[in-house]
Amino acid sequence: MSEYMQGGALANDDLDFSAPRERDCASERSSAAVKSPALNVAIGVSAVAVLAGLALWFMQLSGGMVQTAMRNLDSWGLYITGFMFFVGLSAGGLIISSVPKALGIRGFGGISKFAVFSSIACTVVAIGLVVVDMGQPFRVWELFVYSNLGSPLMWDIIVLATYLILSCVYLWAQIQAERGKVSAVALRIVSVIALVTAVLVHSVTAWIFGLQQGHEMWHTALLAPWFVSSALVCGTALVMAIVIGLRRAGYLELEQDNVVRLAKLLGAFVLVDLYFFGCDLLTEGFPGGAGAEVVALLTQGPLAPYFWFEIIGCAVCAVICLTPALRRNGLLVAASLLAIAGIFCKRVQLLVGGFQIANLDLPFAMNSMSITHADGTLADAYANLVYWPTPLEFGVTLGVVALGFLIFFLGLKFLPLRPSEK
Amino acid sequence: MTEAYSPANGLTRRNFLKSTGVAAAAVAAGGAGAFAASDLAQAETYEAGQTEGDGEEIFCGICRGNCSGTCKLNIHVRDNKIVKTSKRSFNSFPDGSVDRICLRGLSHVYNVYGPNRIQYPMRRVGERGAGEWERITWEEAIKEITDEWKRIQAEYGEQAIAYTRGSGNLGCISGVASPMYNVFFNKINASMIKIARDQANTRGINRVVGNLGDWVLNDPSDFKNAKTLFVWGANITDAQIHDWHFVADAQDAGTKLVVIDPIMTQLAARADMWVPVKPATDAALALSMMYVMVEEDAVNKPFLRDHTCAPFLVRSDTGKFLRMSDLGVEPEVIEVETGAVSAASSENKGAQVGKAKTTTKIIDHPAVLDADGTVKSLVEAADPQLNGTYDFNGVPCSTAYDLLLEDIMEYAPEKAQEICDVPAETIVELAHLALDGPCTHRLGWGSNSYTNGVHAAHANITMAALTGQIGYPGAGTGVGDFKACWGINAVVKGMTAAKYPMISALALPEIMRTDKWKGEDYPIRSLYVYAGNPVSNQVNTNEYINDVIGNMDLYVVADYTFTDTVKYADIVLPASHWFEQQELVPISATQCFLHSEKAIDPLYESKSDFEILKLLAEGMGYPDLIDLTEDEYMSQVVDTPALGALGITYDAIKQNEDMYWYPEKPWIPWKNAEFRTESGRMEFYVENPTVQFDVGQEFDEDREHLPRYFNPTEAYEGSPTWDKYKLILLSERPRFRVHSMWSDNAYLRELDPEPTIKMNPADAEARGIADGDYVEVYNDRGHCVARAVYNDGIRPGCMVYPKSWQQHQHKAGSWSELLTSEYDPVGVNESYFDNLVEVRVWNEE
Amino acid sequence: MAESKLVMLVDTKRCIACNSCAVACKVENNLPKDVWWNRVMTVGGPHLDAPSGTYPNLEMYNVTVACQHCENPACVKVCPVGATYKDPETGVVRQDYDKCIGCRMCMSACPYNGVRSFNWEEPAYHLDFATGDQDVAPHQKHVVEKCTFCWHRLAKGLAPACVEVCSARARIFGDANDPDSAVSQKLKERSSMRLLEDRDTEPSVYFLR
Repeated sequence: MSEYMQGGALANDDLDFSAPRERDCASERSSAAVKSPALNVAIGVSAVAVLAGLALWFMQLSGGMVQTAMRNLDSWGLYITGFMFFVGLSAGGLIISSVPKALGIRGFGGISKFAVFSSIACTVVAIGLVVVDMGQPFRVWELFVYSNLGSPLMWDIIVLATYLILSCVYLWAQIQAERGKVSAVALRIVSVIALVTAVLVHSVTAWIFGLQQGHEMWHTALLAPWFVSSALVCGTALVMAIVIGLRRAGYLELEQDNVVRLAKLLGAFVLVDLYFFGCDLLTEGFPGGAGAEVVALLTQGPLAPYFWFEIIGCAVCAVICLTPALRRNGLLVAASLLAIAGIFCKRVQLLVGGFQIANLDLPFAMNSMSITHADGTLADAYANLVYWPTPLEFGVTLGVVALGFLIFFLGLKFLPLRPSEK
Repeated sequence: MTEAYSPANGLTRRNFLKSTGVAAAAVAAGGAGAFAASDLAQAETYEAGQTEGDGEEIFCGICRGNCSGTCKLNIHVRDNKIVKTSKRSFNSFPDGSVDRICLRGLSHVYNVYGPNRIQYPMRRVGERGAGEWERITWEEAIKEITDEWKRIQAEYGEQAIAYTRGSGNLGCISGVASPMYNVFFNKINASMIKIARDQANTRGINRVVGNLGDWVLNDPSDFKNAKTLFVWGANITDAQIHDWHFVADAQDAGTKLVVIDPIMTQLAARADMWVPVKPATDAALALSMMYVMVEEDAVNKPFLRDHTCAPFLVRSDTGKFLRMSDLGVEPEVIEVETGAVSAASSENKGAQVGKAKTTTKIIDHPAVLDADGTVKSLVEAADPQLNGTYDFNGVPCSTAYDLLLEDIMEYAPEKAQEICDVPAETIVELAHLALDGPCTHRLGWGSNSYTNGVHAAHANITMAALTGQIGYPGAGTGVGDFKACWGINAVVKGMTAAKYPMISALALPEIMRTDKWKGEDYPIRSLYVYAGNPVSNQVNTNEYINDVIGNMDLYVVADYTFTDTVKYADIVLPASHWFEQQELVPISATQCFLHSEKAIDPLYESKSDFEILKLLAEGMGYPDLIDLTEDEYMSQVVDTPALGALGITYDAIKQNEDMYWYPEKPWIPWKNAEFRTESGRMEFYVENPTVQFDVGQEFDEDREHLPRYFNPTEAYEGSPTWDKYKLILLSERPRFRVHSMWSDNAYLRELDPEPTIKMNPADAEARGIADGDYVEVYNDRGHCVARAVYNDGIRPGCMVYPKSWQQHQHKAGSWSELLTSEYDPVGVNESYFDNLVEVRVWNEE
Repeated sequence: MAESKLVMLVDTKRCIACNSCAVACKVENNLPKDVWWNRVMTVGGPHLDAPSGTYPNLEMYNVTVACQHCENPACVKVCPVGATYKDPETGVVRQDYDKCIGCRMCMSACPYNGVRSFNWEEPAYHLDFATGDQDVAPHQKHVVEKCTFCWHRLAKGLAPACVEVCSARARIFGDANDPDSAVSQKLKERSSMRLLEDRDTEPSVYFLR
């Protein structure tokens, strides 16, 4: 295993980023040899993490969500942040994979199936995070019995389910097409549908927030396209990181030309995303008043670290991706990870930011149920981040993310995801 | 799902329509739409003990803490448990104007069932105050107390047993108005210790107008008849929530509300005019308003001449009125029958009350100057002069009015502006408003709480003499929070006269330190406390704990909940909650007798105070002393000829639940300018100043004749402790407690979780204190830790603490530690605002 | 008009933030520890009873904040299972605890932060028996709840508990569709405002000024 792990280390040597990512890269390479013990270890580790997450989830359910940091005035937290993030991550892969097919243009080499499969894993994570966020997960069946079709959450559930199924169908179709069992036309039709669904899934997720008149920060028409652009950023970044990693591990072969095109694309997406952010900030801030508060909150307030990490990270990413001399594999992976982390920061800003500004800025007797930091004054509660997750939430989230990895690793192990011989 | 009723989804449309149908039918008569009148679809009316349905029983309860609202409550009992208290209508006020309940009345359930209830008698085993107890039986408790009392009386004399109370129950059997304690403690010749609180304003007023019961003023429902309602230092919106709507109704009717208060209270925020005044300077403000009235020659001269002592000549040598006897006219001697006086009046010295008796009265008319310049008897003068001097055998005499003017003329608005920090033009405006009557002046406990408090009230009632605005609708000056019924009978079966005079609680520390009272040996070794929490509420806690409790051989406390005072007890007796006994309430802001039913049996081993007294009497060897039933005693208290003439009997009260005790509604004191002074006039010149309470003190009689402004003892810039302490410490009686009652109520603690000190941000920032910091407030007497709360409504240089948190609720100290036990010799009153303190950040845990 | 539109009027000239309505709600509905469906807040400084401005130029008034029972409720639209819904007869925004999946979509949708509360744990109480009205639905863990306009009382033809207990007589309750009702009359006589009107939720709680 040493060979692969070194490879993994290499991919990370200029990064200080999450351990899962490290495992990801390492394992992907290891899966080049399907019988790799490293892959089995990765599967085992993921499975254990999933089980640990499950245990923590049951703890949360039995002992109560009071063990999370979420409270009445900041009623969503890490789970929904993660949900937003993974929905975004999922779509990117599918879009990268399906756009060339749908539009009949040149693709990005043989990465299509990896991209789609990463989408599937991410979608499962996203759904899982919604489930663990629910207070009454055993009433999930009601969603299908008492569906309120007017609720954006209901739309999302429908679209996300459709999307998951379509992704599977699309993957199956690709595999079957390679085996000559599905025609190119059929594949193209499936890819078009998949593409539309992918765009939809982002828009709908955005609408969960964007259609709420309750939160100044969320209530903007720009949110849906912006979610799509953010998804493209992190989805592309994820695909690029994975394929560079897998290529290095020898799992697949890919022309550098394809990577460069991915990089250019990523650079472009990042710029679009930043452009949307700029538009939004200007629109929020220009009239002054409540919107200016939002801008101040982001640029100078408790969310500033997340804001500036995103802005600078994405800018660096764009520079790397768009400067030919910098398009070296290590830097490109770094750029990808920066973009992904940046988009995660964006999600944090969006979610926490939505609660960071109280619509009714009126004093009241705070208590253990009303707000996370209820022991000081109201001003104290909002002085820093109104919400910061508890270890339990991190644990449950890790468990759900581990489920995604487990699926991905199992896919690497059991599914023919490598490009077919041409 | 079980068959259990689940209203979340159980209400069908038919259900709802049916019920709105009922409402609509009821409305048809009233002439409004469904849910139309807010008062239509409100409280259901219940008969006493009526079953609401589903096994719920409703009883009539009276909330009877010392906000004095005495609201009627429905006590809802399900499965022998009180599950709810709700508003109950007054039969005496069919218009619903007096129906009310507040957050405290609503949260009784916790007081009854909370974990802080004292469940059984306890004996202290650890150090005093350490909170270590052992459970004992009632038999052991009574035996231990009475054995010790017998020993103490044998060793130190009978007076060595003392008893005292707070204001935790306004009832006439187990509470403040109960003669039963006197029946027992007089029998064993014990000493009564009287709380010395809220006496200054009643002294200042009653010495001018006489006694019609303490704290009288026009009924609040009369506020609307005033053109302007002046509220002087009364935090009605916190401390008398029940009265606020009368103020709001008056505003709706066009009455202008003027609030004179150093603090921006909720009331001040609603005022048409808020006058932020420097603390303890109300007397100067009132005197200056009078200056304007005099300067503009706008005083009511006919009223002054006919209904006040203004024309009386005052001898400069004695300070007394020049009497016709001085001029050689023999006084008349007549027989008069004095009526029974109220049980809770300041005139009422314990047990010697209630009996109408015949006394002789000497009538020696004051001499006045008539229009022709001659001196005549008041009754003979055709036109008594307000101004003028007379030489009586070389003794210069001036009219009382001239003497008053001398006093007033010192307070030009420009000068008062410097004292009160109220702009001169505002003072002029206030004077004009006060002249444009009718005006009502409601005095609160603010100015009462400094050592110059008697004069603030004296000045204010004197202003009424100048304007003549008193005794008719919309016109009056007084306190008016509540009244005690006149005419009840304290001489119930078994009552004997007290052997020893009452002792002011303010004198007790000195007695305990010296074993002397007015120079005589007077050891006290045991104190029995009921319906009160002196450790929390009395000034100078450390003095009280060290000198008073520390020198007691036996400190016994009867209470239903674990208070600071209980904490220091040697023996604790579990009293039952109000709703576990029946009671008759004769002290009330509603001016009604009220009957409270027993809703549940006493919880745990608790007993009503009445039952406890019976046990104590038995233990002291008087098993037959208290041998009537509660009903029989209550009937003795109420069934007097005077009340009977109004149709008020115990049985009638029990049946009606509430009965208004005045012959007319709304009641207005001093109608037809009939005052209860010797002359029957307003004697703003107090010929014979007396003290509120004889503690053997001396006082400056000259100062007391007329209303004056002088500095309080401590709470002013430049006072003796000014170099060390620069913040005046004020308190509020917050809506979240009634004094210390409800301080352990978990519902209210969720809204008001911990002790706070309200500070002006400027004062806080100058001391490096951030909003929400824990701070230590301190002076030479003690300290207290609380959370600093920024509040721009607090006058810079002052701080305000919501009072009566219990010691364990503070990180350290307690509020009353900081309060002075210095008192004005005339008012003999706790001066709980007359304090300077400093404050600093508290970093300890 | 067949359908009624139940509204609550709160007179800010009369409300003194005594909190009686909050406590009445707490006891009547047997609310768990730390749960308050109805709160009273001072519009002014940073605390209850704290005015805005600088001494002595100060101002404060109070608002009571509970579910606004909006004409156009943000919560109802977003609930994926219809657990929160608008009663067509009365306009009251109601909830079905048994249906609620605990997604808290309604909480984030509602602009009036804090009026909805989620039972973050098994409801705990100060007393070991249920207080208040026995017809109140039992509280459930991990479910969102809020002011019901005292539905159980409406069903008996009674006004909500907070209205009944307001000793300031600051609350008026009734049918705004009935032109003769006290609420309709008052709304004609007095100027009023509603909380966060710019959010277009059309609240049924009016603050008289």
